[in-house]
Parts: sequence; C-alpha cells; structure tokens
Amino acid sequence: MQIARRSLLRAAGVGLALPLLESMSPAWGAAIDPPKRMIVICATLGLHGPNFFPKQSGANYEPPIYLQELERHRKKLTVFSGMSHPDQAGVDGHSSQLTWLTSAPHPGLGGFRNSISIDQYARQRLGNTTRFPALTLSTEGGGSQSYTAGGVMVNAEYRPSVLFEQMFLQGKPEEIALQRQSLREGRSILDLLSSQTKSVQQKASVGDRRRLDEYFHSLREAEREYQQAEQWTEKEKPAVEASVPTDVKEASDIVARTRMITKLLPLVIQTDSSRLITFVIQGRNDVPPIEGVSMDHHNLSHHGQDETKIAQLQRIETELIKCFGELLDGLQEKSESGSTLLDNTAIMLGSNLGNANSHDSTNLPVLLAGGRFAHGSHVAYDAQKNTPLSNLFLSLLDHLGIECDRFGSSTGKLQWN
Amino acid sequence: MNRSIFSFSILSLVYGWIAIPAAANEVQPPQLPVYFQTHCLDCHGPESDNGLNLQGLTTNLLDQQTFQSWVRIHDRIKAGEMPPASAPQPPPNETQEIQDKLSNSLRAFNLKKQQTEGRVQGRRLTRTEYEHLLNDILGIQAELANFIPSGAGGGFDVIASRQGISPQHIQGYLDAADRAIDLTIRLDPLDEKSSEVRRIEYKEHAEIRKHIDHPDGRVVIGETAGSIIMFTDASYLFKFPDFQAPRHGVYRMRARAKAYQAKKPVVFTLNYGDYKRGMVEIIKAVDLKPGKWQTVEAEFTLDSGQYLYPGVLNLNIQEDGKGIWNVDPDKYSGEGVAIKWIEVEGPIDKSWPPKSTTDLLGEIQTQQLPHLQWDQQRQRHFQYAIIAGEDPRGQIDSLVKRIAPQAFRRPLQTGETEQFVELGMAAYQTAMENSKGQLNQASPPMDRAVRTTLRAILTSPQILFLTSQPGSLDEFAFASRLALFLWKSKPDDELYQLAQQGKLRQPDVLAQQIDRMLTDSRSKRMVRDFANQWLRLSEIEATAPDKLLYPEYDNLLKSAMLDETYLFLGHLIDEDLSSDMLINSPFTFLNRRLAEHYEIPNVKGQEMRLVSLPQDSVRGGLLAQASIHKVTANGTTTSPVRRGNWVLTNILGQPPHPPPPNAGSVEPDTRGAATIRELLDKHRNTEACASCHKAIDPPGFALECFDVIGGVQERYRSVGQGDQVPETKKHLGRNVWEYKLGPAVDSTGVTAQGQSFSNVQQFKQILLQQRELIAQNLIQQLLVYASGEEIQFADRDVVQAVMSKCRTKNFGLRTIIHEVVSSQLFMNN
Repeated sequence: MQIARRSLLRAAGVGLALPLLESMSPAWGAAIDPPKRMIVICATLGLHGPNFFPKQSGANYEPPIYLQELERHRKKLTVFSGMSHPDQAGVDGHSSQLTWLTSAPHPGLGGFRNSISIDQYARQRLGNTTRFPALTLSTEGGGSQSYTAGGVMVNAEYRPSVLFEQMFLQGKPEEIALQRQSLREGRSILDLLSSQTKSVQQKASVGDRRRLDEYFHSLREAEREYQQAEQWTEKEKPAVEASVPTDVKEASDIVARTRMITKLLPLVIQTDSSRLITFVIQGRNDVPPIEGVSMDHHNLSHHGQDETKIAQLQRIETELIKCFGELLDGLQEKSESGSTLLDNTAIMLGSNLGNANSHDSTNLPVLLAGGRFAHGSHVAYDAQKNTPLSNLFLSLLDHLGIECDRFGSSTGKLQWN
Repeated sequence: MNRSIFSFSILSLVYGWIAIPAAANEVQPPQLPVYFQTHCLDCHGPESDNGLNLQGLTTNLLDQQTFQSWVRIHDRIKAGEMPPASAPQPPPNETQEIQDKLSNSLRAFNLKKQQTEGRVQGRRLTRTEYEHLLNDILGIQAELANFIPSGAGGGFDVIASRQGISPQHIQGYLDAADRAIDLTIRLDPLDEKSSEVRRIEYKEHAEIRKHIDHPDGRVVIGETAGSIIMFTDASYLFKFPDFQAPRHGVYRMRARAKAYQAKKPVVFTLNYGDYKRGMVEIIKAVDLKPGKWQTVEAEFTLDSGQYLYPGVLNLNIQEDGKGIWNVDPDKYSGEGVAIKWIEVEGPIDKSWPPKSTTDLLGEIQTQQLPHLQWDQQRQRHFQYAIIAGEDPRGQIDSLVKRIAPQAFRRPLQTGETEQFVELGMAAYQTAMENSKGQLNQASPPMDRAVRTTLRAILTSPQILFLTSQPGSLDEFAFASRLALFLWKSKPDDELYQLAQQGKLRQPDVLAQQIDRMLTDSRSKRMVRDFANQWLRLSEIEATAPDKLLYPEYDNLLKSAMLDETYLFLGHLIDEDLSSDMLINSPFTFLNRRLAEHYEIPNVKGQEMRLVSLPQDSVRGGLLAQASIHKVTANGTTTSPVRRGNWVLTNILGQPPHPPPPNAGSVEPDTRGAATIRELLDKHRNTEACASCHKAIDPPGFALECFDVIGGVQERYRSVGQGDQVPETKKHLGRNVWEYKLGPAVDSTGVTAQGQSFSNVQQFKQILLQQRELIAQNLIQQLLVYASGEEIQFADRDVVQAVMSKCRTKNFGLRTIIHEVVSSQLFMNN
C-alpha cells in the first residue's frame, strides 16, 4: 500500500520514527483477553431470501448462492432464519429501517417514539475505553440506525476520508485545545457538584444523605468518564501504514462505497480506536454501476418474481456479500494475543426487510460471524412465530461483557448449538 | 446513623412487647407472645410452607422486610382474616389486645424513624419536573425529559425510594441543561427573510406538480380550478415544499381548505414531522364543513429541521367501496379536501436576540458579528457573541444571584454564590489563556464562563434534590413542594415572596394560593402527570389495536380519549365535584370524533367540550372512558382479569394478591370460537383460583361491554368465525370486511359480596356503595404523589384525618387537594 508521506507525518507526529503497524496496535498482555467488539451491518433493501437462507437447518446445510461467497468462513459464522422484531407495521414499507437496532414498535406511525439502539446502549455501558466509544457509518449522508436514549438519530459518517482523518490523523492543536477545555469544564463542573453535595448533605436529614451519597458516587463515576475522554486528547492517535482514502463520488456506486468502509474497519478494530460500529448500506433509487445491472436498486428489490429483475438484484447483492467476506478476511488475517481480530469481533449482517418485494419485515436475513459463538450452522426458527431479533442482541451484549436481561422486545438470550 | 441512640429512644417509647435490640446483628427471635403460640404456630411455625414462620421472625424493625411482615400480620388480624374462619377463634378481647399492641408498637417505631431520618428521603425532581422547571426559569419551551433515563416504572416517579441514579443520569442532566441553555441564549442570526410569510399555491408549485404529473406513477391527487384535492393522508405527497424549520422557534401555519365531495364535515389536519426522530404528529385537527372555504390556522413550536404537511383523516371512499388508489382522481367520487394555499411564517419572535436571551444574560452583552460564522464544536451557525464587560466577575456574580435562587427555589446561603462564580471565572481564565490574544469567536471567554456557570447551577444537587431536616418544612421547602405538586415546577414570584414573608403556611393565605394555583394553566401539568401515573394513561401506546379488528382506531381518537380523561379530572377539581363522579357522572368531555365513537349524537367540531349525558347512558365516570379501556386491554382482546385488577388496584386501592407462580394465564382467542368468559370460567374452576378471582373478575365482567378501544361491544369482533358486519355499520363509507361479529358479550356478574348486576350501569351503582374506599384511595394516591413517599404505617392516621375533613364536603376533589396540602404529611418531612 502506498504511504502518503504527509499524512503519515501528521499521523505520527513530526520527529517520531515511523512505527510498524504491529507494534502500534495496542499490546494486550498474554494474560489479558483482547477486548470484544461488535460490528452491525444493514442492507436496507433486503437480501433476496432464496439466495440467502439454506434449505437445510443445522451444520450440514448446502450454502445458497450468497453464502457460497462466504464458504471460507463457514466455521466462523451462523445463519439465522425465522427472526424479526415484532409489531413492525409502520408508516410505510421502509420504516422498519428506523427500528432495526432498537425494536421499537410501529415505526413512524403517530405516537411513535424510537428507543435506544443496541450500539448506543452498549456505548453507555462501555464508556470511553476507546477514543471513539461508537462509530456510526453509512454509505451516504444523513440516515443512520443509531438512536440515543431519547430516540434521536445519531448522524452517520459516510466519507471514508473523514473517518480516516478522525481515526488516524492528529487534529489541529487549537481544536484539541478546545476539546480539552470543554472536557475540563465538564470535569470541573462535576467536581464542584461533588463539593456542593457535601455541603448540602450537612443540612439534610439522615435519609436525604443516603440518596445524596448515591448522587455523589454517580458524579464521581461520570467524572472518571470525563477524565478518560480527556486522556484521549492527550494521547497521539495511532499511526497506520495507510493513506487517506479517496471518497467515492457517485452515490449510486454503493458497492464501491461499501468496500471503502469495509476495508477501513479492520484498521479501526486493530488500533482499538472503537469497539462498537454500525454501518448502513443504504439502498437507493438509482442504477448502481455494476455490469449487467440496468435498473434502479429499489425497483429491483420489488422484483415481483420477475426473473430478469431477480438476476440483476442478485448481481448487486452478491457484490455486497463479497465486501462482507473481505471484511471477514481482513479481520481474520490480523492476530492479537494468539487469536484473530475476527475471534474477538461479533459481526452481524442483515436487513430490516425479510422480503423487500412486499415490504415484509418478518423472517429477516441475519448472519452472525466472529466472536466466540457456536458457529457453523443454519439456525432455523419458526417462520410463522418468529423469534425476537432482540434475543440475538442480548447475545451480542453478552459477547461484549454487558449484562442485560432485557433489550427492546427481547424475551431471553438466544441459545443455540 | 447512630443506631444505639436510635434504639434507646425507641425502647423507651415502646408500648407493646416489640423491642429493638442494641445492634441489628445480635437479633434473636424473642419469646413469642402466648397469643401467637396458641393460635398461629400450627400453620406459621418452622415447618410453614405459606411464607410466614413466626418463630423465625425477629422483632428487628429496623429491617424493612421484618417491619413489613409485622404490618401484614397486624393487617390480617385486624381484617379478621386470621386466624381463618375454619380455625378455632381466640376470644375477641385477646385479639383486640394483641392488635392494639402491635399497632401501637409499629406506629411508635415508624414515627420515631420518620422523626429521626425524615419521612421523605432525598426526593429528586422527576424528568417532567426538571423539564418544566428549566423551561419556566429560562422562558423557553424545550423537550428535555427525554435526555434523562426514565425510572424503573411501577408507582409514582416522585417516590424518593424508587428514584435510582447513575452516571447516565448525570450525563443526561448535563445534556438537558446544555440543550436548554442553547435554546435560551440564541446567537444564531435573525434571518428576516426566512421569517417572512411563505405562501405556496399548492396547485402551481413544482414539488406538488411533480406528483400530479408523474409520468409512470399512479396519481392520487385531484385538481380543480385553483386548488388540488387530497384524497389520502400522505406526508411525502403534500409536505410543505422546500421548508424545514430554519431554527427552533414558534411558527404560524395557515391553510385555505374546503371539504370536497362531502355531505358531512371531514377532518383536516396540520401536522409536523421530524426526520431525526422518524415521527409525525398532529398539530391541529379541525372539521371542514361542506361547501365553503375555510382558513385553518395554528401556532406551535418547531425544532430546527422539522417539516410540515397538511393531512386528512377518515375520509369516506366511493360508494362502490373503491378507494383513490383504484380510481382515476378525475372520476373519483369519494370525499376529499381541496387545498388552495398554505402559508408558513416564522419563527415569529418579535425581537432578536429573543427575550429569553436578554432576560437570562441581564447586563451581559451580546455583540453582532459582521459575518455569519460556523461553530465547529457545536455544529451550528452564529452571528452573535457573548462579550465580557469591564467586570466579568461582577457580571457572573449577578448572573448566579439572579438564576440560582430560582433554580434552588430558596435564597442563597452565605458563601453559596462564590463557588459557582469561581467555576465560571476559571473557565473564563482558561479560555483567555487558550485564545492567546486570538479571540475564538465561537466560544469567547465570557461565553465559556456563562455556560459553565449555568450548567453547574442547572445540574447541582440544590436544583435536583428536595432536602430537609425531619419535622416541619421550612417556608421555602414548603413552597417548593407545593409548586412541584400543583405546577410540576418552581414557585412563582408571589409564592416565593409569601415564603419570604413567612406567610405561606397561614391557613387563609395557603387556601387562597392553592385556589390561585389550581386556576393557573400550569395546574394542567399536574392533572396530566398525575392521571398518567395513577390511571396508567402513560401506557396508552403500550399496545397498538389490531388493524383488522379495529380499523377505525387512529391518532385523533387516541388524543381525544386522553383529553377526555384529563379534562374530566380537571373539571372535578375546578368545580370541587365529589370523588363519586369518578364512578359515575352525568357529563363527560367529547369532540365529534370521540362522540361518534361513543355513538352520542350532535357533537360538532373537533374541539373537546363538556357534554351532558342522557340518563341511561353507559358513559359517565372514569370506568366508561375509552382511555381506561385502552390501557386495560391489549390490542386484540379485552381481559376481565386485567380490568378487574385495575379497578381493585387503581380505584379501590385494594390490590389483589399476586397470582401464584404456577397460575398461568388465559390465552385470548380471536378466531371467534370461545369467549373470554368461557375460557375464564374453566380457569376459575379450581378453588385456589376462585378465592381471588371472585373479587377480581366481576368488575372486569361489567366492563366487558367496552371493547379494547372503548367502543360499546355487544358481540366480540373476530377474524375467524362469525357473521358479516351489517351494512348499516360503515367504515370509511364502505362495508366492513376486516372483521366479523363473533359470540355475544356478557357483562353481567355477581360481586364477591353476592350482589348481582346485569350491566355496567348497575355495577357502577354497586361500586358507589364503596364510596369511602374510592375517596380514601384517591386521597392516598394524592398524598403519595404530593409528598413523594408511600403511605407508611404511621401515616394511616393522617389519611383518616384527611378523610374526615373531606367527608363533610362530599369528597370534592378541590377540597381533597386543599386538605392534602394542609395535612401533616405534606407540611412535614
């Protein structure tokens, strides 16, 4: 890979020797388990079911067309069928996009309020252990599937160049100074509140004091979060042997845009810049530049069982699956403390539509790769009475070391073998 | 807490045999009085499998569970439930004696504990209160509650012991405070052009034409001279073109519209949508009468980026049952709404920077910058900057002295100001040093100082907590509790001054103030918040009615349902009407939508108003309100068990015991094969179930005549077996095909006391025989809600005292509120 000298110099800080990639990745001691990460990827126009779901359940399934692209990772992935979020009838056929990571019922209908998405939920619990507590990515500006506890969408970054800059290039000194200043202000506020709490306690009842103690401890914990965040502003960003990527201009070229991101992700994971990543492959109303594709993507997803349309759709989706395979390759290639990045990263690929042709949001395509799960089979749940997808979310949280009994519409952690 | 002093004082107070050991870990079960040994040990001994082993039960009342166990023992003896009728009965005087001893000990212990530790322990503002408080202090209208994690649920959110706190709360308060400060201090430019009236002639606009002239799409928009016709509700088709609110503020929207091809009024709506939240909401719904053009106007707060669109609801389709999607708009004969133009104006602030900014900053000046600039950190444009005067410290000092007393709801204590000022000045200094002579326009030192100071004040323990020594509240703590109860916010100047003068607790002054506060529109917040929690109306969205079984359910109906209950309760308070009205009232509040749902004629227009009910109406009282039916049912079927439980728990204050672990539940059947009644009868055949269900089910049976959305049901709706819905009942002007009519509903029953009823009206009369319980429950709920703590054992006397004061006024709701506020529980901590 060509190294852009300028970026590397900025990345490493002038005067430092250029370090090797391996040595720059955080060193996990032999005794310490490498951290666990999660990547969630959604193709919003679905993944054609017959090409995705194996006919047989269990370990001896015959891979359908899409899974053939991933055969080399077969032992490290699980295909699920018969999963969905309940009550997803929404304001229109695509509104299940809003709730794929939250499972809030009836997206977009009057009275609808979104709830927190799984990545943001995990982010709240993991805190500032990494420089970027969570990354929200997309193939185009605007929409993401990450929602805060208040139900507000988190903006997605879609430009690989900006992502790269954020991850690996040192910021301008004045920007860093301002950021540090804000964090310090936050910290000094918390510090003041702590001392105020002590003086309020002196005039409060015994019972009041107990609650104020709890408040005090929460302040201290919040303060630690700020401290951690502040420490990040003092640390140099990791230097990587890669140049700033050039963004793909054409929004219609979702395959190239997807590939740019999936190529960057192993680097993000390896440098432990973030452990929580969501990525939306945003379906569009135009024709992607792929050989043999002449109709717009959205139109193709409503194929109406027309074979020529399905064939074209298959071309697009196969390319997207290939990108996913390359992401797994990238994570599999790199090792840390005797395991691969893939072993420590749970990656979910899926869609909010089970059958895009009819806007059906049940029987969603779901694929789980990496992490320490009992991989290698097709886990088939009831196609009539679907298993809540949130149950798989509980398993993902468990993988991240987050204890959680209930997320959204979950009914219990998913167990399969 | 100093345990030894505590227990010593208790020991000297104990009337009965229950004593407190010197140290909790030395507790041994004491010698059990002969009464218990004789009459109770057979069932409640060491071998007991019923959850109570009297020999293992200590008398360490410091332990909350042990205390509760003794309270339960007391209550069951007092109620005559124990020893059970099947067992030999002790002489009544012995029972009375043990009951008195227990009662005296428990009360004495509980009172002492309250006097030592305080009754309400560390109550924090709720999310709702925090939002209102900040909005009232800063003069803004911001949604802030969502920033703060919600509580665990169950019980009122004001109850101190249920209010958990975590670092996420702290971050939430900081974020909410930031948002509030950002909306108060407006440094963005006043773009006069963007505030001008923008009128769109719908028929002419390219965005709308794009849909009308779409080459290969199905066109669903009609056209007449000078207007377009909406036949369907679709935000993506009719969205106000090229408009997203340029910034947070108040906007005015007007539309010129007319009912089209309609013989009856049709519903026209103005709505807003939010991409970032994926939501839409009705701003205003009006009836358009056939025949004449109407200008519909609404004023409302929009967040930056939100969009607007006109909509229609419940339009009748063509008589042949075809909708607009199947018919060419030119030939379509169904109802529609014609739109000539729509206008948007705003933000309509009169001055800039707005009043909220100048009010907050006081003498601190803002300066208009020559150019529009971009604030990278906060991701927004700005054209004003906060600048320091000659004495920045003095300015920050006066900011703290102005804002903090409002936030803390009391005068500042000596030395309290300094720390906040120091904090602000530290931020000021750092910014000065960082700027190195090069002023950062986006966050000049004074800006940092103001924000940091305000953030600290708005997230401080003083704003968040209501603390007080045990015993009588001081004047300001009392004013604060009063304002949080009735307004969900801070005391206003008048209350604050009365507190300052030490007059607020004078009975005549207090009575006058309560009346003033209840007349003020801020009291609506209390009615809403109290009803949402007491009656569980906040769960109205918990389930969505099945689209096939209840195709007529929509948002307009939902908000009318809620408004009915809020307005109803507000009216009982306004007019001091009796709590009996909760069960039955000769009036309710309706608009046309809800009246048609209730099949009550002659209610025109979509505004809610007081409507007298006919003598024989099933309506009247809470139990006949659709909001209640909705929250006590799932989306498909009614459940007498759930509704019965709701009546016992929420209305009578007599929650049934929780079901045993293996009880299972009744699976509803919407295929029309079996009624819930038949299924329940099977379930109740065992004696174990019957003992509780004979009390739980009857209220639910009476309410079976109301379906899951509060309509009257004579037959259950079914998606399987059943008869066609008669053609006289239409949905959207066509025959109903979505559901069939299944088995008949039976809403007769026999109460646990053996009184039979044949319909809900009769049941209401039976229920009214328990009017004391109904009033007592309301009083208890209000005492808990107002004070922030559950009714403890010793508080029962206060409840009775309030009861007897209200009884003479026929349990009027306004009287009850007065007496709750004047009670010991409210006046003391």
